[in-house]
Amino acid sequence: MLATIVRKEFTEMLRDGRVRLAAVALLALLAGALLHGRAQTRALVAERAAAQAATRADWLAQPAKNPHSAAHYGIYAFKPRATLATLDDGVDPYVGVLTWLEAHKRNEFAYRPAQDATGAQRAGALTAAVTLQLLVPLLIVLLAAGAFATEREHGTLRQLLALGVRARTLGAGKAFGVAAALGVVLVPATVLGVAAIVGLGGDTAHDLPRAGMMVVGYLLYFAAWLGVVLAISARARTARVALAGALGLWMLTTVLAPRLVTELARALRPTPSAAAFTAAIRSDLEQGFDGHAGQAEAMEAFRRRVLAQYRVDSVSQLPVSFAGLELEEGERIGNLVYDRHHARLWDRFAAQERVRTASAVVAPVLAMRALSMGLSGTDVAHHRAFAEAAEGYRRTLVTAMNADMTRNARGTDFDYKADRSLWGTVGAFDYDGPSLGATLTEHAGALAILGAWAVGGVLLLTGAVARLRP
Amino acid sequence: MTTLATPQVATRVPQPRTVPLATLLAHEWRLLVRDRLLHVAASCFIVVVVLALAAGVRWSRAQQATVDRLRRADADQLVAWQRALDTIPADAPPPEAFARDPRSAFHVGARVGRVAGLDQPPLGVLAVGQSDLQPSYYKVTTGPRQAMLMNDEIENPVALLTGRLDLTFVIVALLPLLIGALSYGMLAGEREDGTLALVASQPVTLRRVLLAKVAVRAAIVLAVAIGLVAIGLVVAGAPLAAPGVATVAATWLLTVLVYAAFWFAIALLVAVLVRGAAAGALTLATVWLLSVIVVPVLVNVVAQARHPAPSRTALIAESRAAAAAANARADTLLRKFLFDHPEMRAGASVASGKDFVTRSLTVQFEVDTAMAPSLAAFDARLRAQQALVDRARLASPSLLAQGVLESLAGTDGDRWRRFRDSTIAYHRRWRDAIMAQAVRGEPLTAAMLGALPTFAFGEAPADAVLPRVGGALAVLVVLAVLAWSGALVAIGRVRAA
Amino acid sequence: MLEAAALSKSFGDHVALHPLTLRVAPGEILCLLGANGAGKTTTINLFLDFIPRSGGRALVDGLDVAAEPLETKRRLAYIPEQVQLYRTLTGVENLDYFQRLSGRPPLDRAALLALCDRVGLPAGAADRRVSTYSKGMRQKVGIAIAIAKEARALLLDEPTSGLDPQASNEFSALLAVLRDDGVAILMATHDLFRARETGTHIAIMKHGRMVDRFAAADIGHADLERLYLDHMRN
Repeated sequence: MLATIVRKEFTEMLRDGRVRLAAVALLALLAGALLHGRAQTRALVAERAAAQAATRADWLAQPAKNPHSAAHYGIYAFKPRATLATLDDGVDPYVGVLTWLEAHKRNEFAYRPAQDATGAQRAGALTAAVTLQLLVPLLIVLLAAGAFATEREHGTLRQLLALGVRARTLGAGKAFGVAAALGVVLVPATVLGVAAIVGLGGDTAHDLPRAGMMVVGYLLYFAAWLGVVLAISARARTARVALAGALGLWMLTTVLAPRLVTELARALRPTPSAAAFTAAIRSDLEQGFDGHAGQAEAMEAFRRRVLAQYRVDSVSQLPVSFAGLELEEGERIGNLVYDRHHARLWDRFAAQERVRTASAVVAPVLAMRALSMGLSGTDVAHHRAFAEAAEGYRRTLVTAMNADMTRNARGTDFDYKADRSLWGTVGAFDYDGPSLGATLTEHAGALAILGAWAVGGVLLLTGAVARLRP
Repeated sequence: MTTLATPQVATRVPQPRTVPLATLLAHEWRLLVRDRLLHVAASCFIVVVVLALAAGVRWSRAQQATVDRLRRADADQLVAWQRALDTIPADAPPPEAFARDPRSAFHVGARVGRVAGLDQPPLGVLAVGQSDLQPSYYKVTTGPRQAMLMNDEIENPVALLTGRLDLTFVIVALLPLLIGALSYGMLAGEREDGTLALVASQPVTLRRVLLAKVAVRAAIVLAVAIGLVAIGLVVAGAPLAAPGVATVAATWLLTVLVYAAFWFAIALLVAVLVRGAAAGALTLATVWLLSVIVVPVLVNVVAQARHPAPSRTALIAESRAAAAAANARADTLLRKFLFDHPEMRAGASVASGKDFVTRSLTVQFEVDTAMAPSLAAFDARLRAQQALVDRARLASPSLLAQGVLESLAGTDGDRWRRFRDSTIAYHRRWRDAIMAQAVRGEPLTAAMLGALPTFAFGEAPADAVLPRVGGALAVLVVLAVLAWSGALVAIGRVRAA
Repeated sequence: MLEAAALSKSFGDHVALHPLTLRVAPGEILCLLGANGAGKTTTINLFLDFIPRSGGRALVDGLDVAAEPLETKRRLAYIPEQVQLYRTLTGVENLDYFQRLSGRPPLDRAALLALCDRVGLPAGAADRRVSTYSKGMRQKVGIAIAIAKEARALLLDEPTSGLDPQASNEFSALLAVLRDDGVAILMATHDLFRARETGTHIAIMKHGRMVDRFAAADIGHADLERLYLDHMRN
């Protein structure tokens, strides 16, 4: 019985010219998005790898010079392109692609690609994720809004129920029928997607489990939409009402809600202006914070502490370069301040993200988007992880320079020149992103809400079908 | 049975030939008012318009407040310095080069610098546009230009990705949806409900009935989209009395009118050409999807493929190489600089080439000079991409309208690019002035501080934007007229059965 | 009043109505009998200019409906199988709207209520929303619209199908009143009994042709049924 219904639904849908057209258009868009994403990944991976190698080569090629001067020369960290960004480039166009790692200062990421794009880019990028998040639900609306309502309007529903077909079987049959029709688009798209990722030759052991989780997430998302739209169809008097209702829901939750919620998050959890942010850092550095003394005072205290530690009267009697020690102490104090402010800012972003995720209770696309970006390695959390890794590397590098100066520049301080071999003692910057586990923990809320939506969609459908009237 | 050999003339009192339009309008109004859909859709839209306006005002005020605060801090700093300088005796020993001392050109010019700020455009509340990506202030020091331009405003990247709920988004994306929601069933709905047959059996043309339907819907939509926004502008305190601003605001509302007219024509075409309300709704949704999402996304892809944005990464490598080269030639450069600027040779002892400050300034100067052609080429490529997109906007009325609305609001990036160019020019003047002081090696005096260059953005008159949007607006008008012509031709063919 | 002269209609290759000639004079009721698809509704749609004709002419009060669609509709009233009204409006509001659409001077509320009463709408129903109406009540509003319009010709498309016998009877009584007022009525129907009771003339249609035509008074009910079935069988 169920198989008969599924087959009939499936056949009926495939015979509908509009459905065929929509399916072909969607598949073409998905294929185009994958090709476009793949080309971009190829280009960016190569460009960033070359740049990272070049900046490392610049670092190693420095002549003999003072280590502190080398620390000022610094090195660039280029944000790597994740392979899965092919599917969803997330916030990548809106975060800087590089940061300069130098002494004393934690620099911000510079050059957001979107700034070098035209205003048209704000309308949206062609990615598989956007297509899946926005357009597949629309295809579901097209396929499912009439499922019950059209049959009710044409009177065939009355006949079916009169034949003794159980409403529940009918509901399941329609759901699986639509799912089968969706499969016609989504199965080839998945194959293409996997092929695109494997073809890029990244770390498949890292990428494929993430892609697998993404498939799970999208299935939950589509199941939710399917359940809700079919439930609307089961309750609506006519196909027109069902369609208007489902389209309205799509527009409110996927077009309007993300922007509305973003404004809400901005209002509830405001972020400081860049000027205020730097001013606060400067003030903490100069005047001190939370019981920490200001820079001048702290350095004076440090001098006294060092003298006491080495039991000498003046810095010239120290067995090490005081300038090196002083620089390192300056870094330590500076890092405390930078950590404090950056952590606060990142936490603010995370708080805004929580507002967004919580709002996914009314707009599932928000949860799906967060999960998709997270698994693709293109969400804010991944950017933060990279920024912190880069900052960690900066500290390693600067500390190594200061340590060399402390050891070897006694008496000569800033006139001391380190040998070129020093540069190679600091390893190259190597970055591994957060693990799948960490990403899933980060987005556990989004995953839970998606799951709840899927279950809710099925329950809504079951409830609507249980009270099915012809 | 009577025979009717000759046509009889009606024997009754002559009747009005046509039904008064007022009757049709009043009836449509009554139907709409009793329709739950109108209440839901219109109240949603009104709420969203109010929210968007509030968000625009909030954004605009916050931006302005930040710039004001920075300017005030600069002014306060200057006053404080001048006061401090007044108390320092003229024969006090000159400060060390790196001292935090207002007499040190390095401190004033390289460490502290000045702020170049951009005021919010008068109608900025209408569109956030690109202003969340483009900083409205720069810290100008003697540092390299590229470093100055690197400073971005802090914003959650997800907010940038999502885009803002501003009035332009509401008009461009949501207004067509409201029009569609109110209009998709205006003919097919009556046909499906069966009332159309009864109406068609009356002495009134369906053309007239349909136009009345559109008129009532248009009145509702425009009352909200134009009336509410106009009131909102006044309430939000937009400086409409300033010269030209009211004209630009009126043009903004006119653009909304034209855009709405376009979508009403599409709704009318779909009502007439597509049988079935459900099919009509789908068709409208598809047209909307193409205009608002698919075509802009494809335009983007084409722009990126045809004119890929040049690589910032490569630019960084290049500027590093330029810096290295300049550093290696620092002494030569400094001598050349002094040769070119004989007036600065006075402090020759300081300008021996060993002084770190003058040396590093010279190097930076050289880096900026060396990088100028690359940066110009970079900007040229971006402009080529922008030009392509400007042409491609024709493919989507929504992109076209968005461009016009953001340009009129002053947040499309054009005004910002002029601001950035002024900032770059100011940076050059600032660097030259500070450099001159540093080379001379004299301590700064209160008078010298007061004479340092100040930033002024040559704001164009508010209505200077009008010629720039004229072309796009004209195209939008042509599109609307074409759509209406099509609709009016099609409407004549509509049948009741 | 209503006149078809070699009126025909084809949909592509399919001839829905072969050239048809008929006349309905004031005070006559011509009932069109025939199976589904015999061309009855097509004939009515042609008189309403709802569909373009393929040949011949349809005249109302001597005016060609295709040439003067509005002027002829001024003289016509139409009652479909299902009189569908605006569900969110009340009966009076619907009547008022259609009255105004007919191009005649608007009636005041008392006159509208009197009309509702005249067609037998239950007391109080006139001010209720039409969504609560039964089919019989909506058909009565349809008649009220026709009366208010002072239509001189009435086109009815199976107006009594699905009505209970009492409602059907009341509807026929209303038609009789209109007939006696000199209205020309063309009615497509399946109800042989009503056709003979109310009609002054009866025409039988088959496959788009009028195959027989006679005065209602000339035939008994049993004869009519036999005649009809004979036509259908051949």
